[in-house]
Amino acid sequence: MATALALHQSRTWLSAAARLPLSRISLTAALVPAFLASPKPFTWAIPSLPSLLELFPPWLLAVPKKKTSHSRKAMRSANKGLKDKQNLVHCQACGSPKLAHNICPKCYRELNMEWKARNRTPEL
Amino acid sequence: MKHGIAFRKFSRTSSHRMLMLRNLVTSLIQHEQIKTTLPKARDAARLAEKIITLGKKGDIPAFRKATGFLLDRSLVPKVFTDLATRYSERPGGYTRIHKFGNRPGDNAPHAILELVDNPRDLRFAMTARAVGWELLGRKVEQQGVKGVVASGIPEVDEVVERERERAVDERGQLRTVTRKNLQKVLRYRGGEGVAELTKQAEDHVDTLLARPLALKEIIAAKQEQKDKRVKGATTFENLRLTAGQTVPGGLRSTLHLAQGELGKDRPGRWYFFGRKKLGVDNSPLWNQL
Repeated sequence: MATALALHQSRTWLSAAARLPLSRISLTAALVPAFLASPKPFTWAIPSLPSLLELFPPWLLAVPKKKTSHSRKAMRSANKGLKDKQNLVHCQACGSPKLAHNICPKCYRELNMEWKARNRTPEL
Repeated sequence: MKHGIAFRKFSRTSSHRMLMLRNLVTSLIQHEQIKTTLPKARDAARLAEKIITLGKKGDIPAFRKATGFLLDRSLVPKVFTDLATRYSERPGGYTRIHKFGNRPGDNAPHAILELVDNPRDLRFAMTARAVGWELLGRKVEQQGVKGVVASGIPEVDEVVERERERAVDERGQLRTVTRKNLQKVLRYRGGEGVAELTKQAEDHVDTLLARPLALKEIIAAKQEQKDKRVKGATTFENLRLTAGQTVPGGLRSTLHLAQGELGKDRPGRWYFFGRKKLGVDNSPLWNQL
């Protein structure tokens, strides 16, 4: 794998260097000591995603083999249906069903309407 | 991590958040009952109670602080006079939050935030109605509907007075929960509270009795044209119940009613002639009108 990478490196060095900014190349040259400095500065180019994909042969990428059948798709979504609400109780004032620990919307509506009617026509 | 931090951010900057809460508290003091989302109600309740505490203190620095917080200067005297006298005996807990389902647009949990003992006190009204319902249910079981229509429900105020003194776990004329609520809503109200509750309970009883009677008159003309064979079935229509709804004296639970056709314990053969409406409580109690 490393040798393959090195081969790839030498092959595409020119293209990699073309992708890198010039300032990058000069920085690495400054870090390296004088007696080790080579006339041609060498930098590792970070392989970008398109170049990485070139490493993998086409048959190695994950892909669905067959269209998921209607039956299998339906089986997978068997438990995705809407769940019934269990927390239903009777309102102790009007007998209509309501959510537990919540106020009865029917009763609230009646009280609201009553209050508004009373305010609209002030009692004499 | 947010361990032990009691404040919500509401996806707003601190100035926006504070102004929003100030607006909510100002609206609450103005209208005494507001509807908002549950987390906002919880935070606004906390601040509103602190403002009312300032009102109870009554001195000049408290007045200045309240004026600085509320966004309507004309409401500050209300806090220092009306609300201070209303809550003079009550040690804290001046607000109440009722959960109210979910908002249709964004499924946000809704809540009604109200000042306790306000003229439209929701818990007071619901307790009064529950008292009316329970007393009516018991009477209907004993006398039948026609008897109750003739006699009415006498001495509701005496029942309220008796249940007020009774211990919560004793066996009396009201359910345990209703009795507990009754004692709580009447604790800081006094005599006129009992009168108000009695009036609301009696009004509710009248409403409950009036509905099937009014509908019966409308349907009476149509009943003559219906098939004589299924005469017994048409009485269910008098009540016009919605799915899951029950009547005073009915004993089946909401889930049991909602199961309808799929539920258990079907009555006898007459059921096949009955109007098959899912979840309707076809109690025989209210069919002899």
